[in-house]
Amino acid sequence: MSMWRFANPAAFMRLTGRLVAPMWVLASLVLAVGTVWSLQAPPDYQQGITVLIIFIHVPAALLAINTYVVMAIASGIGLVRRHHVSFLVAKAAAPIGAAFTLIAILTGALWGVPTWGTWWAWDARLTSVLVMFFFYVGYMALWAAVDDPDKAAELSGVLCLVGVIFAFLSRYAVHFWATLHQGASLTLAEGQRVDDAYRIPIYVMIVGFYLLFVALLLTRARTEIRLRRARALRQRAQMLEAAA
Amino acid sequence: MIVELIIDPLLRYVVGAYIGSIVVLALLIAVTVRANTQARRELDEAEKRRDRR
Repeated sequence: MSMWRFANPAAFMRLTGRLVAPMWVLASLVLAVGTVWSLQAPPDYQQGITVLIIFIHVPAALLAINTYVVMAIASGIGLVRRHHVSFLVAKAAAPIGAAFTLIAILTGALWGVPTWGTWWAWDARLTSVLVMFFFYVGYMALWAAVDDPDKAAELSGVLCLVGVIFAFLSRYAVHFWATLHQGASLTLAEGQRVDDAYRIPIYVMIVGFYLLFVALLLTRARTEIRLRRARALRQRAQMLEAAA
Repeated sequence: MIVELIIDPLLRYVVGAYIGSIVVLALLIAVTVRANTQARRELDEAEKRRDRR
């Protein structure tokens, strides 16, 4: 059984139709549990109560980068294999990624004031995340600006692939340069660096954000497929009217 | 909460971060649900028009 059968819009709609509602329910539950759990975390000895921002900032930043990777993979598949569903999945992911990036930037700025003494610094990680946000906005603007959906899909797909470098830099800039932004605290390779009082609720919130991402992505992708189908039916009707 | 805000000025950053994030996510969810409803309606109308013909 090949995964490519889901490139068929009907097969995609059938499968996702069964998944959408459970994903929304699961995302709501996990996020509710994660939020309540997070707010019980004790104040940090240095950062005080502002440490609570970590429970939103880290999952949002993780999803901001990973959504771009999902978009890039979908765009790449669309460009190589000419699957419309892939382009539509990438298109559906863009506003979600942009929203997560905006949340990461906003919460980061609010965290920066009490910890760094500034809202913003032209630091390698912060700057690459900001440029990635502009790529999200540019990608959505390009889709909206081109009337022919096939042409829009190809052009925005190429733009998305160009922007991958900033998703990569957003993730790894802290390893390449000495940045004001700290390196990763949650790593599998270097053992435990965060106390369980923070680490476990962060993981719960990350799972909640991922579930929310999947729920939003499936809903938006189904919307895009319906719109494309409606457009095709309207065009066919116009052609038949013109021929009659 | 108001008393805590006065006691701990750092709490305003936490409240700002949580409210800001909730607003952004709520807007995204609202836009997504609205677009989905409109797309369903558009497709239903297009299919009905096709079936009438």
